Amino acid sequence: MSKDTNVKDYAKLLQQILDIGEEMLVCGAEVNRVEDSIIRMCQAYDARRINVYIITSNIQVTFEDPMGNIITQIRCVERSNVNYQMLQQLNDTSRYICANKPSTKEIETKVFKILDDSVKEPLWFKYLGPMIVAGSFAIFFGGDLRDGIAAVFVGALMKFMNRFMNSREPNELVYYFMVSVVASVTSLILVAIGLGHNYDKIMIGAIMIIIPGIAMTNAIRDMIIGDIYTGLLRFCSALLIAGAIACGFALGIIALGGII
Amino acid sequence: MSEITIIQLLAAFIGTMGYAITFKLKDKQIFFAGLGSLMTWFIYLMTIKVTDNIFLCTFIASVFCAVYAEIMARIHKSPTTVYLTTGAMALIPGSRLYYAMTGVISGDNLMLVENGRLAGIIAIAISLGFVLIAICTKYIFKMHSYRLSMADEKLKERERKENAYKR
Repeated sequence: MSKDTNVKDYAKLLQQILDIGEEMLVCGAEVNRVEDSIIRMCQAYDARRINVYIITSNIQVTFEDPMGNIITQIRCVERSNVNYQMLQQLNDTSRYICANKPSTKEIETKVFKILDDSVKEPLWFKYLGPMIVAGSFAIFFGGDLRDGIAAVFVGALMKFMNRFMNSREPNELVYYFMVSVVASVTSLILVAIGLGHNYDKIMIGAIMIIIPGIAMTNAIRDMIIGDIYTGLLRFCSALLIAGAIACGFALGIIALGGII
Repeated sequence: MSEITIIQLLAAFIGTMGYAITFKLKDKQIFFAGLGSLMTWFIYLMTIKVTDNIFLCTFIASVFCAVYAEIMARIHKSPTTVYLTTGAMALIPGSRLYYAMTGVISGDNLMLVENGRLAGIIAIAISLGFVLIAICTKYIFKMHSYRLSMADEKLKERERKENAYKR
């Protein structure tokens, strides 16, 4: 039937395409980019009447394959783990698929290789990012050098919390709340023992690690571009997270503010 | 340029590189992500001298950030989001959120309203700048491919007719 592609099992193919789409979403791609990639990949294999719809945690695809079977698959995306390196590789893979139309087996090995590669990273390197962010943004918002150093400690602690809580706390809001409480209490203690000077600057540095500012901006952008559902959902989740962070820091200040 | 400005620019540069590390960018891209943030904040500081309008300043800075991101994405063949999110780092109203929260605790309503309002305005300004550039680049780069696709479409149409005739 389809002579120029080496794929016979279109259901399997769609599953693989959805794998790529799902990983792209997890890595932090915008919704319309993923929609676009999925449509292109389906078109490359001569699928007709392609319908793709994505809301943040849900991908739905329906198409008619060249044999005339109508295939529908839905994918639930619950994770989120921003990884731009992987996003680039997945993007390249989707371009490669559009251009070369590889068999399902080849796609599978390619995607597996990308997922496998991403894990290798030394432990100290994971701590480096948050420490730098907290330290320099504490200085950026008007703290002095000692505030920066204190914020570096808070950043490291928050990364430790992140690694500790990730597998133990399924609720995102509770997670952000607890991390914020710990960060706020630590910065107050660090000021009390004399390492930092202004606890507000240290806390702002710590907030910059977990603030959903980018999520908020992306949500508004999604809404303006036309993905209103995605935008609204992301906007709500960003607002709630910001609220949880604010509550967490507030609790720390209220609890210790009188003493220190 | 005063000393504070230079310190701020450096802090934005290094902080954004830290962000790039958390987002798992590699070597060269980390540097360019930091550079984008530095230049975006520089533009913001330049414009804030001319006008007091925070919306306008943030908007101009985010437009610059988006243009930079589009250029960098094409040079490094990566998605635009990579440089958009890292470049806007310095513009993100993190301190506004903090001071709004402090306003709630201390019962200072004015502080809460002022900082909350500014945080909203800044978020909207950033995303408007991004959208503007996204639409512009779409039209600039689609014009070419649109013509190609039209030619392609005509060819397919002809094939379809021939096949129907054969049947």
